[in-house]
Amino acid sequence: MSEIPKDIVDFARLTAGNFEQKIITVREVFMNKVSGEPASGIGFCTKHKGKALTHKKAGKDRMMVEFNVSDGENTIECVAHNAEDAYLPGGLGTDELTSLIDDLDQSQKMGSKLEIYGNYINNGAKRVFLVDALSLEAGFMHSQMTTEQFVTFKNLCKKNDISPMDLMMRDDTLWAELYAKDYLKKAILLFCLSPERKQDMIHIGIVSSHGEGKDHLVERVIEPLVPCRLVGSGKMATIPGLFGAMSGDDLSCLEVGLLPKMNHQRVAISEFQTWDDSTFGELMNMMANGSVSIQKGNLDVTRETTENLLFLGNPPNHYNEEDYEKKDMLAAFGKYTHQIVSRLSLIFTQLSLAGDDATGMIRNAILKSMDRDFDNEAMKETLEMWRSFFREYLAYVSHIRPNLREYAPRINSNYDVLESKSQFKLAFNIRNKRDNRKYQEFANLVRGFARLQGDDQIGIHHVGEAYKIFSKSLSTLTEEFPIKALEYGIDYKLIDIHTRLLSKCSEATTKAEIQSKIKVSDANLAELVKLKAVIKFDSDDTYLVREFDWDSLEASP
Amino acid sequence: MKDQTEADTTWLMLRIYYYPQFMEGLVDLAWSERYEILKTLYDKGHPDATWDVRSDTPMEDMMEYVSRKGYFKFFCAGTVVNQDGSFKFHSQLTECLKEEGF
Repeated sequence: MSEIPKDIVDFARLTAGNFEQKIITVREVFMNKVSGEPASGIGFCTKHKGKALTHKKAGKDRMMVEFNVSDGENTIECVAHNAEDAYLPGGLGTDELTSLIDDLDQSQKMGSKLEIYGNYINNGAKRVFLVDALSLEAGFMHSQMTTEQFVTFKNLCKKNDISPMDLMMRDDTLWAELYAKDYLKKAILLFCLSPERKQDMIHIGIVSSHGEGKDHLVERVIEPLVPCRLVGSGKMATIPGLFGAMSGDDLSCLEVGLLPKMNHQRVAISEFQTWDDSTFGELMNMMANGSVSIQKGNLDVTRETTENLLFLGNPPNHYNEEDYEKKDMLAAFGKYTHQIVSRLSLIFTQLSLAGDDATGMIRNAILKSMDRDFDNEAMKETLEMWRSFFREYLAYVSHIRPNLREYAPRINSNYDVLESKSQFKLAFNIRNKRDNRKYQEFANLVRGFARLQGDDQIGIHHVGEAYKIFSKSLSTLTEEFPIKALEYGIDYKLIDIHTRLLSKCSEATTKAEIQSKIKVSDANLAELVKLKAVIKFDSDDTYLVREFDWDSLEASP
Repeated sequence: MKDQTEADTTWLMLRIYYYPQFMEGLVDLAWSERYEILKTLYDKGHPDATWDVRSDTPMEDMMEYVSRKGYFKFFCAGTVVNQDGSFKFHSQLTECLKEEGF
């Protein structure tokens, strides 16, 4: 691997050095509960309500706002008020309190992050955090990278004949701690973009064997790079926890769940095969519309959930390739499999993500991690520098909105090629002539690649890359995880071979003759004979390919 | 120098992204299948001068032709690129496209 040009490294180091690291945490506030020292933190408003202050000392028509700010791990009970100092010091002006309520409302509805400043006080029998100042934190949506820095970086890349995406895919920048194939790196980088609108969302599914490093991917690549929360498995991820629920203290307000909290960001779902069908059912609207509607009691609210989802799952434990019991893998998304698959921009279903040829590189990465090579100060600093630089780069390019319509003829033709492939209909169970959702997802991939490259105009490479990754996704779906064939417990390749044999060999013929016409291995031919899709005549050692109803296998033991 | 047209740009894209996939799919086929596809594509691109059976061994003739000319000629024959940059493949060519080393 060639070295990264020095002028790019120097520029990235200088630029990243000036970025302020914003972390969603209220830990500092939480730790100052006893001392009452001033503290600040970033989190989300999960609920808020107003309370009238009737005490004479408070003044006329004064109120207190009680609200909770949570980072997902700790929840801070906060108050703000406009009472006189004689009643409680630290009161805000009327305008300030009005603005604070507006910000709380926005945080709760839109999942915007809040930054709070203040200190703990005793209020009655309660220890609460009295907020002096509160601001909506746009840091995760808004990039700290300036236009000038972005243009300089692009120019440096051009001068050195290297693209921003190439830099982000290198093993010495963002992928030092995990070995992955290029297509997977590209998919993860697309996932790391921040969706501004619902059309920008990119949902990705990865189903592979256990021990393939899927959680490692989240912990060592995604989470250090961009804000991303990991959702628990099965019963650990409840619907109220994900979407929100009525507050136990006040039934007229809603405590927001994880998904609205991560609006414009991303969420990874680990071991999704352990989820109940009902959870997937609730997720379908969110995946398509970027919002969830909740009707409960006297509440009727909509919360924005414009975010990217990453589904990570395994085949069941009893699954093994030899027995072809792949039917169970199909059940990973439960009864909503086809609906969820339709909403996934990309889905990779391979038992091995890295491929057998990568064993050496994977082992090397594991040993490096176990030896704590990444804790070495120099390496740690370099990795953190690249992560910090590209975190802001990704936030910056997420706002670029290249015009797709100008490139429509090529985008349409590329999509038509994908749609006309037999694999496409097989994979997505398309009943209609056209699938507009898949078209929109494809166009979004095109724009995603333009964004990763920092380009404000669509070009052939963006369309080409989108085609390639979509086509890769399609091939893993149908060839390595054949949805239709899986239902019959048969490898799709075998069905394909049978179809080709049928068209080429209409009469009984020898194995040598068959193999001269069609590329078919002895093992595949034997398998077809076993399934009775091909009849073998032992008398003259010939084979007859017969019409075969693969559906009939479904009922067979 | 002539300006690059929309069609030229599309051809560039096809050469970079599709031709390798076409090759990947084609060479995976046994020659008997490959011959049929190549012949179909050739005839599509040359309706006035279709692939003639030149001898008793047409497949060998095709092999010899490919060894001299390569496969790109067939790829072009199975592709129509319009002035606006849109394009369309012959169905046989589409089925040949196979995701190559990524």
